[in-house]
Amino acid sequence: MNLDLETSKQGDSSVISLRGEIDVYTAPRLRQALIDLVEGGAKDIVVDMERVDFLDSTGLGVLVGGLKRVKSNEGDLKLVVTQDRIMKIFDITGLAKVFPMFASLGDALGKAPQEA
Amino acid sequence: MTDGPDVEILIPPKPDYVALVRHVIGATARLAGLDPDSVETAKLAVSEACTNAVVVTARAKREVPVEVTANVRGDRMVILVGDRGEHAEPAEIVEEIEPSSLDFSFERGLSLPLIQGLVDEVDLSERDGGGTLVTMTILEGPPID
Repeated sequence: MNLDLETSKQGDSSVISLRGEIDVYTAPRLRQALIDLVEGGAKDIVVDMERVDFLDSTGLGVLVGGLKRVKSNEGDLKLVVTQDRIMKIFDITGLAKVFPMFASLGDALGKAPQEA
Repeated sequence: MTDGPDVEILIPPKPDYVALVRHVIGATARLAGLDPDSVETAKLAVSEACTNAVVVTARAKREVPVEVTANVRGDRMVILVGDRGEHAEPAEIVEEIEPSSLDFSFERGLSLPLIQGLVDEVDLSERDGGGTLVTMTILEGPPID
């Protein structure tokens, strides 16, 4: 019943990796992390939600707020969404068309698939 | 599905208790034999309604508990969320968001459209004595149009 949040720098991108549940109780931590990155000058932010078990409209609102902030900095906020039940929430609210969405962190970072 | 007795929960109107309701309702839906998609729908819908209830109760500066009741009858699960808060004007329902729009005034009004997109029936009514009762019905199987 909690949210783990890690921020890392990968090339020119800032990555927020989330694990757990994003709701009205935990979303303020995500909001603060996004504000800190944008105020620190980050332009390319990736939010990795591969291990998010739960997302509600509070979390959506925070992501939209983050997108607005980073766009005013001429940057972009990309999302990694791999689970159908999370994608469904973006589809219902129409936000799937608002965020650049990627099926893996590697895709979001623009890396070519690794050779085996 | 198995018909079960009603499950009733009272929570303090605080954000940290919404997860508690979500997990109890999820477990209730699983115990009643709902399919995994319907379990997820129940968890998300009750979280949305409870979050709204907590916010409007805080706005009214009251410490009155938020009341949640769930029951399963046949192929339908009904979840009721009651508060004694003060609702502002109902959030405008966003039919479609223009993809290129940078007008994010909709961001605070996502909850009700999300509930409406998730459950099969939703009803909002004013309660005697103030506050709102949200009634949400989830039917197993494909949604009815």
